[in-house]
Amino acid sequence: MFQVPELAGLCHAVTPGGTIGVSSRQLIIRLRRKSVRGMRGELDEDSIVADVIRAGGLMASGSVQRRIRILVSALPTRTGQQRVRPGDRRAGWPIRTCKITTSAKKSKAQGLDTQGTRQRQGGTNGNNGNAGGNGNGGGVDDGSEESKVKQGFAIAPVELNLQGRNRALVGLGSYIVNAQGGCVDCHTSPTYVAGGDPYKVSRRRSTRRTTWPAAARLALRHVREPDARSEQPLTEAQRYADFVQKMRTGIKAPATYTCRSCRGRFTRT
Amino acid sequence: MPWPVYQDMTDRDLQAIFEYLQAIPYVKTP
Repeated sequence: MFQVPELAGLCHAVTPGGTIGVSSRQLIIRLRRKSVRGMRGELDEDSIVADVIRAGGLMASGSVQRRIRILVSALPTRTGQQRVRPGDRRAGWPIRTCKITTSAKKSKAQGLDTQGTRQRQGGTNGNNGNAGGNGNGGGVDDGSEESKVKQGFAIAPVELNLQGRNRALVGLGSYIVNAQGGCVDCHTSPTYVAGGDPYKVSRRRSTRRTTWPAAARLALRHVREPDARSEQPLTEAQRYADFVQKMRTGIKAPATYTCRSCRGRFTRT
Repeated sequence: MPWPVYQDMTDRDLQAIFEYLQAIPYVKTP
């Protein structure tokens, strides 16, 4: 397992100059997610590397791919069979010789190749390979928006209020926030319970109670209940325009509101 | 936040994120 400074050094090399802005912690969590899928037999190493490059917005050069392979191969196993301690350089997880898990066995029993979703995509188109049932989060990820929506609802940390909302967009948004973008990795406080180690999957904790306030902070007034006594709530169109400006430029638009007590106009930045 | 990555998201993705955030129930303010 990597020592944190070593990991940071490698990730810095992966993201030259830090211009991409992917922190070592974010990257290792993404790598871990991908590698867990690989351990299940759902992805091969090439797919993991490609996914990480795409998810991280990294340059797909040879050196980057080699470094990601190093990172992936150094991740400890989740099954505990090769449990290692921090600093143990013998740690290694051979993706191609990993233990076949239950889901992979099911796929094999159905005559599907256990080494990759890509081959499943080619042979069957979606539904035939789904042996996981409903809401298990272990269905076939065929990369379509429908599967992203389904996965988004499966991993949403809180119960969502879909009243008046576009269900497909909400599911897709949940997928982007909770899986693809990894927003919760930083915008959760705390992401891990006291004593938990973010670099060990087995001890990871992220409960509704802890995720919830962080999600509120992430969205700031987008999800905060408007204080009817002092502020005029923004309309949804105003909130959306504000949100888009933040995401596109990183600059928060100043919000002007009227105090209902003194009727004064104030600008909140 | 890694703005260089997020600033190029498609409008649909941004709309999806916004819809998701809107679907999260309100925090009860004191």
